[in-house]
Amino acid sequence: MHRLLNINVCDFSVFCVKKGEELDKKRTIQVLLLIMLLGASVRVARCYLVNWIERDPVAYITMSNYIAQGEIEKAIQIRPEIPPLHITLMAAMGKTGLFAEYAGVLISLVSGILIIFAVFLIASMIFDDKIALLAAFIASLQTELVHNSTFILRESLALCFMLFALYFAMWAIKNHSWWKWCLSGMLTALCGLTRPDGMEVFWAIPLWLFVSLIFCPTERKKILTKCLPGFVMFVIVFCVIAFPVQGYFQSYGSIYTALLDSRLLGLYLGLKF
Amino acid sequence: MERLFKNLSFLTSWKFVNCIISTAPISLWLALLSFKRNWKTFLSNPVVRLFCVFAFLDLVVKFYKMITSGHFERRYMLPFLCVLIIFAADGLFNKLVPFLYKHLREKFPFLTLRKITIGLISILFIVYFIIIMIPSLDHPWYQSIRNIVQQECPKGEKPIILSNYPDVRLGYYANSELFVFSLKDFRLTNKARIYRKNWSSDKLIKNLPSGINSFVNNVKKLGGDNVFIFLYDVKDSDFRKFFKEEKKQFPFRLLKEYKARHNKPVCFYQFEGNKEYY
Repeated sequence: MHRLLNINVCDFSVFCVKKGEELDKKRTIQVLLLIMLLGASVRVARCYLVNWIERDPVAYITMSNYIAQGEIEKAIQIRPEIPPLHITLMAAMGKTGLFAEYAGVLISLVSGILIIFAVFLIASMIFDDKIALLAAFIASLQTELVHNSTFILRESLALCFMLFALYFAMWAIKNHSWWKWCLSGMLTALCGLTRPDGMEVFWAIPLWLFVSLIFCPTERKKILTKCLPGFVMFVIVFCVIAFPVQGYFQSYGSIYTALLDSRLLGLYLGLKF
Repeated sequence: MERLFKNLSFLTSWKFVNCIISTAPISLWLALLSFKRNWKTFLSNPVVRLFCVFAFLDLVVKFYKMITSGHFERRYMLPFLCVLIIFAADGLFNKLVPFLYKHLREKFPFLTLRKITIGLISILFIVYFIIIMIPSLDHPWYQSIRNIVQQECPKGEKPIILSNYPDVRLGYYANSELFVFSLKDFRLTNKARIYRKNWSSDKLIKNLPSGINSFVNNVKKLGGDNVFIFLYDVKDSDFRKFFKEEKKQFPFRLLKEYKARHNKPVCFYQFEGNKEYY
């Protein structure tokens, strides 16, 4: 395998480049691929070390089975507040003949491996490539991340969308590019459709605008002329994706709301879901 | 508001802090090292500021969630954990390694920055790898019950599981109806629910009397050989005692015994519907 990748497997010296030296881009990609391979193999091994599922997946599997049979209303009755993307994905994979339990594990696995890549991308935006590779290495082995990418839960998929959305938003702020804002809006919508926590990215950007406008007077002009229009694009793309889906599922009795976590709102009003 | 204050009592158990610390103690410590070193640079950069605002918002939302619901799980902290990991890498590389080098250089002159980094990465790898590879085989009965029920249940009849352990997974794995009873009053209920929907139908257990004397009759009304009993944290001998005290014949056949955590006994029985009981 190491011959295929054309690198020395035991060579961790990539982390220890002397000051002033820059990492070769090709070598960075090779090491990143190796780290992702390590993450993937550890996660696959972990799948065989757990012989039970959590309690929540029973609801998800039942719901996805109903959706695969075309009985959407029956599925939503089980948990009306749940965002629909994860169970719909499971149902779509179930339609190809895959057992819903394995489909759920596969979704978590793939998104769990992509999380490593997302962590690398974000870290390389803040720090240099060496530290980004180290962050990816920690993410590939971090126990909590590994455990969650083998369960049939929505966390892994939502986290994957959330980190990529955040990455594109950060990239858009750096380069002032409108299509990156659009991509970020799309990924935030997908994240919101997976888990209500995804809305944190949506609300973080206005908060960031507010903080920047107040505390950094030197950046004010740049933010108003370049970031604010980008954010409008972000909101438009978000609405175009999230609200039609919300409307479609609400017509079947779902109480899922795209912009606010209905569970948090419900808890505040004294209702219990 | 009253509700808010009522739930604040959870703060005393340090649930939230405990969740952060126990999830990623190494990452948290290293991230704090990194943040302490150059928080001014981080916050003056607009890109990193967005990242920090996101982390702050995430913490606030999760804190609110904990106060209002009183329920918190480790997996809720995953987005914050990813933020920690990124800063932890910086903390390890730019703070911890130079610090160790500075203090260990005099005692161990052969150490270099490169060697210390490789050593720390290897330690991280070993610690994480060992934790990941510890198998989690806490509930051996789920897969086993699936096979046993398939073998023992008469063909064409839907299996029914009665249990003192309200867990929907029993019903899911065995593909059966699931009813719950307690050993105090032997009253069949429908407590095992997946959220709003009952796992099994109410029709079967409606108007059934409680008490050990009518328990066998109740089971007979539900079915014959397709009725199974799953008992958690009850010994086989203790369960038999209930029937012995009432001078009744024990109508169940022990299929398998499992051991749960802390050596708790778990027993799985099948009802012998064909025999005559008095």
